[in-house]
Amino acid sequence: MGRSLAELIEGYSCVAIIGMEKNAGKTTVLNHLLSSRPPVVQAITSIGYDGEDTDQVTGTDKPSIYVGCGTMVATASSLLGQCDFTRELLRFTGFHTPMGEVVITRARSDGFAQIAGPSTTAQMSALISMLHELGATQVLVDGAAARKSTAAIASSEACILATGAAFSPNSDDIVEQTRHYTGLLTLPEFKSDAAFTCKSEDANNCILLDQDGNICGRVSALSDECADQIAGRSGQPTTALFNGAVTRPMLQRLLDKCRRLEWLQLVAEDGTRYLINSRQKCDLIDRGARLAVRRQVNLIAVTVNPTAPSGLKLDGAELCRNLSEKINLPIFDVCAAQNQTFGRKAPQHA
Amino acid sequence: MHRQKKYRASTPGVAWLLSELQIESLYGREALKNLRPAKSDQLEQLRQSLAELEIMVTAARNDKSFFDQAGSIFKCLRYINGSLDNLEAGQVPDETELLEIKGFAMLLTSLKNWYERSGLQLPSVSFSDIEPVIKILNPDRTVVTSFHVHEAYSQKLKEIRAEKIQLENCILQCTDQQKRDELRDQRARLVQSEKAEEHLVRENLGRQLLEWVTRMRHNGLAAGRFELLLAKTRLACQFNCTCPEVFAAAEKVPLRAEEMINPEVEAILASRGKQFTPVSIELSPGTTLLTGANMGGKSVALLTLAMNAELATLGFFVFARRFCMPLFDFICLIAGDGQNQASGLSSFGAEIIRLSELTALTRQGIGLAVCDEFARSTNPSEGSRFVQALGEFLQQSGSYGIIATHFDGIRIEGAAYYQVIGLKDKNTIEEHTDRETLLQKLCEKMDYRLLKINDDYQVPKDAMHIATILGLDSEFLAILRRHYQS
Repeated sequence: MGRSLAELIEGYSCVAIIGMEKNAGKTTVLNHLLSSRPPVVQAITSIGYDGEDTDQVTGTDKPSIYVGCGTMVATASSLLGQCDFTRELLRFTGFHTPMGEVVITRARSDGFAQIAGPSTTAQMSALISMLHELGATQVLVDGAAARKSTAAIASSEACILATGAAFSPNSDDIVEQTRHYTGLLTLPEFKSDAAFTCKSEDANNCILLDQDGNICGRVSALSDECADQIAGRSGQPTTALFNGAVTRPMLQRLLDKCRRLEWLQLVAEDGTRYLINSRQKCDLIDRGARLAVRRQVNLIAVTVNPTAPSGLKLDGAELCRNLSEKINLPIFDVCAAQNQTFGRKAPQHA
Repeated sequence: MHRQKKYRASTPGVAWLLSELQIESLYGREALKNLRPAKSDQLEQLRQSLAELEIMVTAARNDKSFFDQAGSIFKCLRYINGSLDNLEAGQVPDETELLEIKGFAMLLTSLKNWYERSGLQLPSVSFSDIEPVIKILNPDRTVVTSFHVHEAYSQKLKEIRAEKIQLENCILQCTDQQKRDELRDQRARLVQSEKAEEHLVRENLGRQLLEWVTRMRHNGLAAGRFELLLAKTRLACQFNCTCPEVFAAAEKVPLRAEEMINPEVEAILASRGKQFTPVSIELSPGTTLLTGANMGGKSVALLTLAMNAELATLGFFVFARRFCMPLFDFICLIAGDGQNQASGLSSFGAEIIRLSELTALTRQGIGLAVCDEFARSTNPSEGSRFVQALGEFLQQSGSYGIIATHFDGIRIEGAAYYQVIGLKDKNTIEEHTDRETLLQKLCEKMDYRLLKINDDYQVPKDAMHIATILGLDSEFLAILRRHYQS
């Protein structure tokens, strides 16, 4: 195998770790990256709240994030008391979460961190800039489970997808779903001035463009009318731009109405907005539809956690092998790398 | 803390300006919230705050970097009264509160230093020395903006932390899982001792800070007042406003407004490539009647007058070349369609409610009453009687009233009369097709200035002419002309 996960992220100023599901091993990946002793100042934050000892959904034990001395941590003020590294408070951010305002701190010792960051794309981007201004060379963003990670993806230069046994006890199922999801994240980018001008439109809008890029329809993407309007363009080259989610019922209605779709291009903000299963995606592509995104995710690796919170343990090596047959990206087993967790990097501030 | 309600502007112009003021800190916003018009017995205070504004405006006009320097801290100034309340309640401050207090002390100290160097010396703005607060929260010689519970505060803390770091190194190097778990347990115990010692340090810091709370609160208030003053200065400089001359109401001096501008209307006109025509007017105690053609700018003139008078009482510079006025006890505007179906009031009903307020106010002091086309929505024969009565009432009230009206035959003993100069060369009618051009032509033909006339005034009969310029249907106009002739 080629480079390590830590080597892969070298040179990126901001990397997001997103999961296919809860307990997909994001924290283990983060701990691995935090302990890899890169010669840079690292910073860490999170989309919303993560880092609790027990998973609040499954009630199982979870690893905590362990930061090294010198690492910057951006977290909500009410969680500072639960962090056990000695720290220096650098600044307030003005971004408020249910757990208080996000504060930027610098660890003056190693220790466990409880992290809650902002959850909107705009605030996350601004926070990342603040961290860079304060001297962080590389910001790691703990993303949420897949569908909620838009803010992490939008603000980062590179992305790591965490998958594993938590997602399904069935190895084939994990492989298939992960392949489907990486496919969505890396859909080709749609470039047009029209896409830019439509960006500020209301959420959940669908805007239809004709072949010259002129707007020829506008409809709520959540109504039945959306599929009907798109189907009404049958045969004429059409681009459907979605500001919010591209939903399964809408696409099913469209598939029920149109046998051929080679005249249609669907465009979503990014891959996380396609809330479709792999069968639907295949149907769309078989009928000639093209799927694209306004912002392609720079997915650089997939990590696998073969252990589920239920205690189920799959064969990590086999899972990695099967995944790498279907996905053209570096695949890492986080448990195999765990011997390095809780490591510590060289002191940053002399 | 005692909080009072936000000031509600009497005129739409002032409401607009207040909403446009550039105020960034919560202290500034609080000062704005507490802004109140000066009453007739507060003439000296008003003159003093106008004099302070004059000093600021002069300083700003002489120094291009004035606003950058004076306003530099407000964007990052946090409102720390919550933390100060907690200190006074005897609570042990947490790290974020200490960071907040330190940030406040540093920013206010830099503002104080700049303020003293600037030589402004405004009587209402003074800052206490709170530099020792920075020293309390920054035991190192180098002052940094960050805060941490420093080892310098406690030898014991220093020892605990040194031991903790050693343990962390051992944990790193340890390969035996059981040994490692033991070391982690030891570390967890050390973390507890560290937290306990940090708590003691913070408790002690809280005690030391307590004696500075009053001075910090004082500085917060002063910063708010200064930021509001700065916003007033910015406005005055941006629009080239002038200092109003204010006199005691008892002196019964006339309100004299020369070449007033309405910034809101001016901005709208500028966006269409047009200019605002400055208006001048003089009001003596009693009633002044204003007439003029439709679309002649009567409403704008009245609103501009009321806005400037209100600005002056709030201690702002005014939008006029020169503006002298008595310090009014109230400014009452009766204008616009106050119809509110939710409250069950028609336009006329709303005017009557407002009129009742006005009559009550005139009994409490001397004020300015500005009435735009009073009783316009009722029938003309009764409406003109209402206007006649209002004019007579204001004439004997001692207040300053101005009424714009289209009603003929209003005669008020001792009242003054003004008229919008109105349409020039009425006889030339040009053919235009699109509405934009028609409107443009009308504006060009209109002289918006106000002219004082003798008391045998005639209400201008320009309605048909204006309708013609605006391109009204010729068949309709023919019918209309027939009625004019009869």
